[in-house]
This record gives sequence, C-alpha cells and structure tokens, in this order.
Amino acid sequence: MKILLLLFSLALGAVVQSMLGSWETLGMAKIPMMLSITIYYALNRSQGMMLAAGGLGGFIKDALGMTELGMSSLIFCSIGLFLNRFQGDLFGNRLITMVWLGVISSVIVVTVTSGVLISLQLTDITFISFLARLAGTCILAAICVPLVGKVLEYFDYMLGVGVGSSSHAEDLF
Amino acid sequence: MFIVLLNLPLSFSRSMKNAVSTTLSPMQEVGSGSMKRLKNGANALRGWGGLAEENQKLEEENSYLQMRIKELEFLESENTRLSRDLKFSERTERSLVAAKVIGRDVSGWWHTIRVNRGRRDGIQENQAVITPQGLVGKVKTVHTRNCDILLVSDPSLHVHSVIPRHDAYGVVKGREVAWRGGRRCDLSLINKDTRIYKYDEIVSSGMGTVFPKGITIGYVEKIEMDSSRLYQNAVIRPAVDLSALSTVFIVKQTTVEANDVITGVGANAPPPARSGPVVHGTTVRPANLSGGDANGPGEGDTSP
Repeated sequence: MKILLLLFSLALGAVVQSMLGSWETLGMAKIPMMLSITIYYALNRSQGMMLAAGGLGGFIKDALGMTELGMSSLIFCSIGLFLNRFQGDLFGNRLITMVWLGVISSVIVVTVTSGVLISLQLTDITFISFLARLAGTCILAAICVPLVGKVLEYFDYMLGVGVGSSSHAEDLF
Repeated sequence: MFIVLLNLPLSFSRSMKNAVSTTLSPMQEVGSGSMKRLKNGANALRGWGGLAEENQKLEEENSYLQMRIKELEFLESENTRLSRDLKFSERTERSLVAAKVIGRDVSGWWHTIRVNRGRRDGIQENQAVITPQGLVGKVKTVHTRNCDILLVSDPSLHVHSVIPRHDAYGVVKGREVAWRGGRRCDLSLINKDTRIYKYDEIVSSGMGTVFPKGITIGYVEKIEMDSSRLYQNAVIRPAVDLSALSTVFIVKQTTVEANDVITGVGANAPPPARSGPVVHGTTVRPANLSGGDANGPGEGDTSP
C-alpha cells in the first residue's frame, strides 16, 4: 500500500508539475512538486522509503524533461538523506519548518542544476535570470512544500499509512 | 545507481524516457482535459454557460480554416512565382495534424510543450509546428503516444527567416526570458544597410527542410546595431502567444515532388541528371535531396 501510495503521489505530482506553466516574470520558475514529495518522505518515512521517493521522483522529472536521466535523482536523494538524518530533531509537521526546508532545498536544486547545465553548455542563463529564477522557485517552494505535505498527510490518514509513526517508522525495508 | 543512470547509452535512456512518457500520457491528457473543463466551468459561471462548448468548437473550426487559407494563399503565391521566375514546377504535399497540448517542460529550463500526438500518428522529429497565428516550433522528441515540441522562443532553436517587406534575410533565435518575463526572440545577421522598422513582419524563409516557407514568426519590436557594426539585430515578439497554447498543428511534409520540368522542353526530352538540372543558370535540386541534412542550412537546434 505504501509503495502504491508513493507511486500515485509521484505520478500525480508529475502531471501537476507538467500541466502548470512556468512563472515567466520570475525566470521561468516551476512549481517543485517532486521536491516537495521528497521532503515530505524525508521528514516522515524511513531512509529506504525516502530514497525510493527521491530516486523515483527525480527519475520521472528527468524522463519528462530534457535533462540527463539521474541528475535530479542524485540531487533529490542527497537533500533527502540530509533531512532524513535530522528527522528526529526537526519539527517536520510545523508549517514554518516546511516553508524553510522548501526554500533551502529549492536554492540547492536550482543552484546545482544551473551549475551543471552551464558547465555542460546546455543553457546560457544570465546571472540576473538565475537570481530571478532562484527567487521564483523559493516563493513557489515556500507555498508548495507545506501544501503538498498537508495533502500527503491527509492521504496517509485516509489510508492509515504511517500515521503517528512519522519519525522512526520502518516503512519499507 | 546514479552513476549508472547518468551513463546510460543514449538509446536506452530514450527508451526509458519513452516508457515513462507513454505511461503518464493518459494522466496528462485527463489532467489537461479537466483543466479545460474547469476553465469552461468558470466561463459558464460568468454567464456564458451553454455557449462555451459551441464557442470552443467554432474557435477550433475557425483556427483550422484560417490555417488553410494562409496555406493556400502561400501556395498560390509560390506557384505563381515559381512558374514565372524559374519555369519550375514543384509540388509539396503537406498535411496538418491537429494536436492538443497536454503538458509543458517539467523543469522550466527549456521552452518545450508536450502534445498528444506521437509516433503512432506518423509524427517524426524535426517537423514544423504551427498555429493560424504563426510558427510555434519544431518536434524535438517523439514518443509512442506523444511528442515534445521545442518552442521558437528557446535559445537553442534557430530558424532561417526573412523580412518580406525588405527581402532581408536573417536568423531567428530564441532569447533567454528576461527577469520581467515575456518570451522574445532575436533576429540576427540582417544586412546593416537594410532599413527595417518596428512591427515589420518576420516569416520563415523556407531554407532547409524543417520549416515551410512563409510562416509568420513574429514582429520587430526593437532594432539595434550589432557590436561588430557589420550587421543589424532585432528583438522580435513571437506572433503566437507561446504561454497560452492549447491546440497546435504539426506539419507533415509527406511528399515533395520536383518534376524538374523546364517549360519548352518536351516530354521526350532526356531525363535530368541525378545531381539536378540547370535551369537558367540555377541548379535545381531534386526534392529528395533538397536541404541536405535534416536541419538544413542555418536551421536546427543546439539543444541536447
């Protein structure tokens, strides 16, 4: 059931992320649905489940886009592993925590991705556009991460998955 | 695992991407359909209820008819010009495949859209994509049930173009979106002595095999001299609102026939040489060889 829920969440997230347009006034920033799902799983699930969420989420994101397969998986899993390590110390269900984690994670994702794409000469983004994109993604992440967290929490509650066992549940492996 | 993924052979990587795209395609179609219904619902609430559906049908029909008129006008003018100037008869059979936009680039790094037509509908890479308003882009990646279209505003797409009013040629290239937003393109390599004006129309020149001739790309918004002082550059506003696309047409150039008939040469004349006959000092290439490689001169993209 947990795997099915994860797959459903990722598929739904991918569809929403691909359907919604970019925020043109802020550097073509996109709503970070897959990152939000990874953050939720990092804060509320075991390491194995988090790696599955980050790896699959990144894989789907890369498969639907034009980036090389594996790049987003690597970034998402790295962020997830870091957050998962401090799972017990963070108030993962608090709104302000989710907002800040969303902002910090999106800064890492945008910086690393743009760095890789520039170094591979796949994009020629200007510094101003990069800053605009960073700002746009941070704003969207600050809204999206808590919202996705609440929706996934509701799914968990409805299906009786992982409720009340957020910190140290051994969900998958 | 990541190293393996990052180093997968291109063909295998494409197959994996195709599998994910094909799996998610029905969900994307349902999602985009729901989104459209929501918009229609909102319109109905605003008092246009009942008419929304009819209006949408009429809009689609209107789009198609406008497209046909433009295509026929262009074919007519092309036909007249070719008959008069080159004494050369060329026939290009084009068919338009209507496609519904079901998604956009998930990362936001590229200007792409995804439509619900793919390999099973006969779509191939490097086919032009248009709307009644003008050029949208070209087919970049084809999957079984859908395909990705690289928009004309993407910096990696180049289109050889012409300003018909002045007969001035140049290359249109997408421009990085400014922080204030708004998709624009650059028209570069225009002769510095040509006087171009704001709002001049830019159309595709037809050089290469990707983009048909005479498709409106956009309108001049700003003109500036190149830093080398050898050329002029212009910022152009795309004719199509690329952020609000819902239906596009993919141009399938199924058959291109060059009869290589020179007026005055009878039916019994010897067949033209394989490298192409010489007509009034101009070498005319047979259709299947025209344009050289898939992208043709001055056209194509530099994206991965």
